Amino acid sequence: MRSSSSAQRQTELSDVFYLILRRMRFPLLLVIGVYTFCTAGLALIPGTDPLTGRPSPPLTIFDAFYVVSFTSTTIGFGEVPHPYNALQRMWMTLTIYTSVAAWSYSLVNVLALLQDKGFQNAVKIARFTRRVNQIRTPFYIVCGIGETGRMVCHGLDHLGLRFIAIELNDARLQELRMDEFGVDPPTVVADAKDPLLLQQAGLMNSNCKGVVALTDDDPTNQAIAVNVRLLAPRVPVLARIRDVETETHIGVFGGDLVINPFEQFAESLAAAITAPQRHRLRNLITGLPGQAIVPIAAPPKGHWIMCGYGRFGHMMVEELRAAGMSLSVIDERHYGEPGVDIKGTGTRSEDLKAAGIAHAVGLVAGNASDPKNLSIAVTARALNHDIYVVVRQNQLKNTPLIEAFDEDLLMVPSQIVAREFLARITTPLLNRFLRLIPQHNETECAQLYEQLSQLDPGRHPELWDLAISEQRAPALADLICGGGRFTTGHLRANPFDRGRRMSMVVLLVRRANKNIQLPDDHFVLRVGDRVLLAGSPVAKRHLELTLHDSNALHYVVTGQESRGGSLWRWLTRKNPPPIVPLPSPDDDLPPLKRTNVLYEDDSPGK
Amino acid sequence: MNLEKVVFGFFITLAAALNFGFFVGEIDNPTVHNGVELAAALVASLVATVLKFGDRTQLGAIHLATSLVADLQLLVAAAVWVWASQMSASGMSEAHMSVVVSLSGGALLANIVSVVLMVSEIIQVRR
Repeated sequence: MRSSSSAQRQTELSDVFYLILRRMRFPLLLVIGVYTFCTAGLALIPGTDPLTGRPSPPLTIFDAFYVVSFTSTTIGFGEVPHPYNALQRMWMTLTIYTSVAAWSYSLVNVLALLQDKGFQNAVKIARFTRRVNQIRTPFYIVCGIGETGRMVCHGLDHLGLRFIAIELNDARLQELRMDEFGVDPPTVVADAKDPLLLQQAGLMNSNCKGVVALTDDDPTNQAIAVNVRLLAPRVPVLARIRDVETETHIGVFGGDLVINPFEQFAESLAAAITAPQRHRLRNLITGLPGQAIVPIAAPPKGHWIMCGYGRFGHMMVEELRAAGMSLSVIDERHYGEPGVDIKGTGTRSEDLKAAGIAHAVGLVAGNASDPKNLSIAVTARALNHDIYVVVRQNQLKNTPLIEAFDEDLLMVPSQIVAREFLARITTPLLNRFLRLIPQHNETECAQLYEQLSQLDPGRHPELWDLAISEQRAPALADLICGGGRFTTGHLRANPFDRGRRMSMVVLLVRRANKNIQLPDDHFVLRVGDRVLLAGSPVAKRHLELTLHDSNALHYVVTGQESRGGSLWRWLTRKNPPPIVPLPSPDDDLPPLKRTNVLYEDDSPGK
Repeated sequence: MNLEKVVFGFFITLAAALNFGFFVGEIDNPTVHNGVELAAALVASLVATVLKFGDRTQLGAIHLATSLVADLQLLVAAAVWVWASQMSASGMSEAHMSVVVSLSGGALLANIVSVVLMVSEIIQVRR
């Protein structure tokens, strides 16, 4: 038991203090020993009276201690009752050499300890742990601060959420420290694979809402995912995996999300060709809330040209073939492998002509080099002006270059991962909803898109989870427990004027293991339900009022203003408020045509 | 046999023994209390304190606390002794002596607690 508790407390600041004490044990003992020896000697040797020349009593113990003290610290006062005799001087000589040496040794020891790398690391970790423990709000752990990691950090900060950054490379962390954040994040230079470090970063803390593994190294990300799964099964973990083989491996381990940016993009491009509305809807709800919606032209159907047949190329070709497109693949290095049609880079017009650029509708420039991709895109545009061009951008710093070229679709792997991670980790229910989207046909998706894009016109709407529970919605939980009836319509009612609805849509209600998609306004909520909501920032703020303030809630439910305090509420707690139907609003969003309100079991195999 | 335990046990017991030697006798009689013994008890107690530095066990922490108490009491006793014998007009009087001895009596209590803790630790290990 002792070993486990000491492992957890290993690097608190008090432990650093103990470390100093332990290292100081021998030097201090040495100093005490030398002092005692010298003081005792000085207190035993009889003095000589300089006036009479007769022996005088020796120094008292206190005087002796005083003399040794100023001698050993090399301060060297001279005020002693009278000059020493020869024996005393001999003893003082001994005292000077031994005690000064003992003091110097102790000082050097302390200085060496302060210089010690291990000690400095212990102090750093201890400070980090203390800062983590001070966090009282939900937070996320971001492992790996590359381009993607940094984007996730900024996204979390934008959403007003705290995070903790772990990165092996000090230089990258320095860059992050230069960035501006709402609250300065605790950071540590360390290997995130280490389970102990994850614990120090607050993994076992009940406020830890998720871990994001974005290091450059697939096995490390995998190790992080496995560690989190074992140490804290309730904490969701998202890992980026670039290599397909690793991914299947990790997929077995748990239901956690593993994002392969190439596969993700390839799938989404294929989806954009076969089901453009669904793709648009997906894009809308996974975008960063509050950011402007960038309209995307739907990619056309027909003959496509793929330049570059690496990992990304393979994914693209697979997905585009599955979507029913005909394809020509251009590659230099992988020429000779099955699937590559033309040898070349695609930067020469002959290659592109050979791939059928004249009748092609789209081109994907998917090399690992940005200048190459751009030159392919420029050549292709020169040969076929109307061609739909998809460019893969590898490095964020090339953004100005890419912006100068007017491509139709830009693929930035780091952005794809960051956006997807952010959306899913901050709203776990979104995962379920995204899995249910393929059940809707194009018309329904288009309808839903229209509604959602009106919530916060021109911008991606806020998406958030709401658990109907005592902690998250105290007033509402009280009401429902007291027998009150509360519907999704009440949720959407404006707490200042219940005749109006806020711009908010209930996307999904999760009850036990049932999903209820897009419930209408008469759906009755129960305690324990989890609700996925989309809406404007104002609606999100106002809803908090309904959930927390029982007077506002009373108004929303009954239409009567109530100013009651806690005592009155307690007296009337047995009587649920009367049901007064909500007046139907005149400025509500157009009703959705609900063809399928699903009440199906959610089997994990899906 | 653990040398660290031997050294620590030695100093704890030595501190208690020296302190006891100083403490016994009439409380206000300067002739039965020896200043050198007090100084020796103080040194032994300081050594015992430093020996417990860096021990993070529960028992180690209590040991450190008790010997710190003993140090404090003995330091004050020594200070009173020095003041009374060298500074005060009356020299070492009976009143001064009883203050010094009662302070050392307090330190003795702390020393005894240390010894009891040490013995109980040994008994636990035997079991």
